[in-house]
Amino acid sequence: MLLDIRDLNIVYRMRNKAIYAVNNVNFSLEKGKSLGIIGESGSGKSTLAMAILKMHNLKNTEVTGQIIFEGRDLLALDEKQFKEYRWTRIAAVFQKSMNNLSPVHKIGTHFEDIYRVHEPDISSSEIRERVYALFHMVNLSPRVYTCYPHELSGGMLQRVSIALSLIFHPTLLIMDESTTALDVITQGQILEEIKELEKVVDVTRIMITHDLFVVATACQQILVLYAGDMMEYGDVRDVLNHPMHPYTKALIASFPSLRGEKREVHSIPGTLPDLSVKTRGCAFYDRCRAHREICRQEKPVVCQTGGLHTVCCHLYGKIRETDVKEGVNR
Amino acid sequence: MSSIFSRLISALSINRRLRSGCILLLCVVLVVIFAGAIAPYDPYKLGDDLMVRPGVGNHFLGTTAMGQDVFSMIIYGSRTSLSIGIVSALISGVIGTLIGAAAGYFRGKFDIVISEIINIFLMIPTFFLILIIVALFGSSMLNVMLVIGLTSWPSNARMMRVQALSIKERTFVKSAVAMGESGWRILFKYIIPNGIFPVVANTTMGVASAILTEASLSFLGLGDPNVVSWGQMIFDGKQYITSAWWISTFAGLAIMFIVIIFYMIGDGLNEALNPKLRRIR
Amino acid sequence: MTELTTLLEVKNLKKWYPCRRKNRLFSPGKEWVKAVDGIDLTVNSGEVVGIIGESGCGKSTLARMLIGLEQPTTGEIRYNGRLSTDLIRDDKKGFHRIAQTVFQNPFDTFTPNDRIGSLLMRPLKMHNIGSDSAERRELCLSALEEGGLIPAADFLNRYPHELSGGQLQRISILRSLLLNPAFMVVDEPISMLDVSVRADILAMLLVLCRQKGTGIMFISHDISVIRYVSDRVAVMYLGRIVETGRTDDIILHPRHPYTEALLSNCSTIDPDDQTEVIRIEGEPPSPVGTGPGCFFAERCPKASAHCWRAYPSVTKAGESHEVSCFIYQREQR
Ligand SMILES: Nc1ncnc2c1ncn2[C@@H]1O[C@H](COP(=O)(O)OP(=O)(O)OP(=O)(O)O)[C@@H](O)[C@H]1O
Ligand SMILES: Nc1ncnc2c1ncn2[C@@H]1O[C@H](COP(=O)(O)OP(=O)(O)OP(=O)(O)O)[C@@H](O)[C@H]1O
Ligand SMILES: [Mg+2]
Ligand SMILES: [Mg+2]
Repeated sequence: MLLDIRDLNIVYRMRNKAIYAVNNVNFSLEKGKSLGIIGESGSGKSTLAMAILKMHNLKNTEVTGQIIFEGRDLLALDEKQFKEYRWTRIAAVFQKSMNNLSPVHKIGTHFEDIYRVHEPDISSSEIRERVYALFHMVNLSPRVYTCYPHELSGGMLQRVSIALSLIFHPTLLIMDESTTALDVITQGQILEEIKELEKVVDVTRIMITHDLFVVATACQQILVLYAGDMMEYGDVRDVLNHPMHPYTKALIASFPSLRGEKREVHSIPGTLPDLSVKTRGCAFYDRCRAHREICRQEKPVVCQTGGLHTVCCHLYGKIRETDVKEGVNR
Repeated sequence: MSSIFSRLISALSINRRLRSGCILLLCVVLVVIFAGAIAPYDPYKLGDDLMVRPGVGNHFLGTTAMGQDVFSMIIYGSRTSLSIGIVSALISGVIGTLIGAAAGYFRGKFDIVISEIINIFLMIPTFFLILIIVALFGSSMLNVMLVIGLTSWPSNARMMRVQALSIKERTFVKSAVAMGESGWRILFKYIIPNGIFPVVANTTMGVASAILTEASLSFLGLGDPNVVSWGQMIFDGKQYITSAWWISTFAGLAIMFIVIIFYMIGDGLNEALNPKLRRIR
Repeated sequence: MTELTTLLEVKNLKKWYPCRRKNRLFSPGKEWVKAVDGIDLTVNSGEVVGIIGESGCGKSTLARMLIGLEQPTTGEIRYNGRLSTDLIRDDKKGFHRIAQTVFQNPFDTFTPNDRIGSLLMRPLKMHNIGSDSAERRELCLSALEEGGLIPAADFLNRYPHELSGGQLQRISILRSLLLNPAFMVVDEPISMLDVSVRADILAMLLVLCRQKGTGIMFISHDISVIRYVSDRVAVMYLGRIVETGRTDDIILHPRHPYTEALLSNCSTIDPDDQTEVIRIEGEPPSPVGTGPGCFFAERCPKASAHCWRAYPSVTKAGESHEVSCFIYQREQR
């Protein structure tokens, strides 16, 4: 097991209230089985990703639960111990990564800095060579090496961030909406390259995206989040072809099609609930077409419906209550 | 604006050097405020005991050739040093920030002229310039403050200009322009608040060097003769250094102490707030 | 639909950035990054024009020029027949009410020191919309609610770094919409929104466009969204437009080889979809030292010797469908 997340809860404490961004999330990741995370905007996907790299400011964020990476609980490690994981073993392209490039330094300098920290006696020309190889992987021209961040386009910055994350061939690579600013051709090429890399070195991805197509082609497993709660989890094929949770169903139904009839893009009526109040029942209750009374009263329990496929909904809750425990920690 | 303070406060809690510097500075400030209550004697009063050794009588640090109590002089001298240091650093910080930000943001001819001025200032030895000006215009405390402030802004301006150049390219500045915000408002609301941290750190260091400059001026006899200052004490004690070492020595130690405090704060701020040193991710 | 009037007209617009080189000593002569290299385009009022194209092909640069953030190297931009430089000179503030934008990067669009409330209310105050701050606050609250940011009052009190990407993106769109501009260029405004929220935001943009006659230039990489919102589409490649036409013409019958490749790469989640993906190979394209031939020639699967020699001129490929490719020039002859 590469990564095992158990009962993860993340709460942002703000001036006068708390935001429950991630609630009781459980999932596990095997080597080579990349995971796609989808969910509505603001449902806690980036928060979850940041927790794996321990990027939260612990002064106003509570992270509880366990994040077990290769047998060690990352949350229990202190900053010094975690250093050997960050960037070398677990790397990430965050949604805001491209803003973190220092505006007064050239792109090449960023790479040099990182190399120098981890391999102090590497020569400049060697760095340059390796960076060019990385650039080639993400389809950037070598010209970028001497550019400042503001001279690049959004998509180019995003590719620079991807290249930065690939420097040390991490075991776990988190990509938080890191292909949103890329056109489909470039995106396809990069995904191909990364899959190619996976064959050579062990890289497992967690991809957060709004593009179901990316999940469908590049991931083996999928996790659906809504308002910080897990809705559905399973093999991509199972979930996309036979979605069970009403939210997943609605999400897939609203995906627009490119060819064929031009049709209205459907939205799911309603909005994400206020995350600062802890709901008693199901978070999706007021937008769910199939909701019942019990959905408002009780949190649905996780139930396993064969194989990996688990769903968190009262519609299925009755089926196999005995498996609940197992289902959680699979 | 409040986030500037919150950033400063978070910097305080992370950086140990900054924190101890601030605590020490607080002590000094208390001394400055309550100088009257702490000092056992009036530092301007010429007493009867001349050149008393430290610890003899009621003179904790001894007395000068004129019979002034050294300890009281040092307590009162902190007022001079601190006010000259802070006021002149503030003058140089404000001028440097405004000029540097405007040059970096508006560019054009103004920027060319300013850059040249900055280069010239950084090349000429400013201390001699200060010396000449003070010699010409007299050495009242106000003059000294102004002169130090007006000659040391270029380093701040250079720093702010670089910041302005890079912040100008950030999307939030562009989006403010696209909303129709006026140039000056952008300068004051977007460029300066987001780029001021290195200047703040530099200005804090500037306090230390201003204190040193003032001391050197006084040491050369160009200090304000009407106030007690540490540099003046060293100057006065210089001729008795073999017979009454304590006059100069304690003043020198005081200068060292306060300069170190400001270096600690400035360095700590630099480390905590400088984006270059911040972790990339 | 109201009668179409030309709102924006762009003629031969270019933006060349000077190129930084390693050895200026040994290779004299200036080199340029030709970010935008001669664009002609019109946008009518009440119309949505979609812009698609490879990452780095100059879409955002075009957008920045249109709203006056960057000076074009050459070329002219006219709003309702008047040059944008004149408009800016006469009334800078007024110009920004005509042309508004939504920036590509929502995380950097807002200054980190201000709360969302003051960020939203500031432009209103500047342009004298709403009589007092209470009224402006109401306007902002209802805008936020419309954008699905609930509870709205709570969002007004937050700092930008406390929001998710999609939430910032929505706020950025809402802020521009509050000014009721006559023309908007939106640069990947919905890239961080999920499909269902996306639909609401697109609906808001379309309402503005259809009811108030705002012209919208919609830049996106998501071609299914472009198909849904836009009336016309322009396809860009390395700073030039290679194909324009009505949306369905382009998406169902692409002519230019680049458009064909681009469209074949967009699959759907539909397992029955059988479109064959056209791979394009070759070095990553660079806007430095382009030409003299067709910019796409080195990666084009259909390139012939001719394509390396000259840049193809614009050819009509149907009613209001134009393409710059030699294949169609030959056909026409
Ligand atoms: N630093 C913070 N302080 C307080 N609240 C926060 C903070 N960061 C995020 N939030 C809130 O937590 C919730 C989850 O945010 P998160 O960034 O994880 O969403 P997301 O799923 O990544 O959304 P998107 O798809 O839009 O990026 C949001 O409602 C957001 O407003
Ligand atoms: N200020 C600048 N100085 C130098 N070159 C620049 C500058 N701004 C943009 N460029 C270059 O111009 C080209 C086009 O950039 P632009 O941001 O317009 O692309 P884009 O089409 O928006 O791409 P994306 O889809 O990735 O956002 C890029 O090659 C970029 O490197
Ligand atoms: Mg996110
Ligand atoms: Mg762009």
